[in-house]
Amino acid sequence: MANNLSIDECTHAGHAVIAVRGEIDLATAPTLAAYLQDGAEHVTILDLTGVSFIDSTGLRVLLSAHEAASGEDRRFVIIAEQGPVTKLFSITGVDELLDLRDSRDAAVADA
Amino acid sequence: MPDTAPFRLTIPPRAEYVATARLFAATVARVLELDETLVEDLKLATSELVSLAILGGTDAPVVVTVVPHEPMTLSVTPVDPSAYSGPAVAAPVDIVGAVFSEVEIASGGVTVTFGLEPTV
Repeated sequence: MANNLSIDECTHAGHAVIAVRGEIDLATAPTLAAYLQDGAEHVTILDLTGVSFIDSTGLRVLLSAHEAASGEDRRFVIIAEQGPVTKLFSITGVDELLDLRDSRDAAVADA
Repeated sequence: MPDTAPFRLTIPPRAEYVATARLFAATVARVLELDETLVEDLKLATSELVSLAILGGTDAPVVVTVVPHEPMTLSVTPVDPSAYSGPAVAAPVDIVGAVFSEVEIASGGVTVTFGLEPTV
């Protein structure tokens, strides 16, 4: 794993959740991108509540994953709380595009 | 207010140092006792512009400068905005422009002018 990023798999109410912690930027985004590409079919819930920083490099990885999931009619939910992640989503308008929830409970509620 | 020297960081143009540039910008912003929202905005702008400089393929060191007196500015060189070719919604300079109203592209770099309060 890149220094400032960790990616862990866990379960919540019987659903697989991929929890990302740390910073998603030019240095760490490739690690996340590779993870999302390699395990695409089973990444349906991506929890970014542990992400302390994200910039457009990270955003592009999320958009690619979203696009790939949409193209295959696969669910791809992103969990984010008020903070740097939701701020970036808001200023770029991608909060209207992505499937966003604010908690794991909300993410699994309509799974 | 007495003039104070600019804060300047020079880093190799490598992805692993983008975080260093953010840390520099955040530290300077906190030393200047800026609002925490503005600190986060400056971290984002720094990250976007330094990343863009590196994406442009430069071999030259990337320089981040913060001028701490009115007008307060954050500058990154060398930055070529045309080096970006990804989706428009995630364009680095546009993201910087969404949080800072004064963004100037000149002299091979990008300069953001900011005040004491965040705009977004």
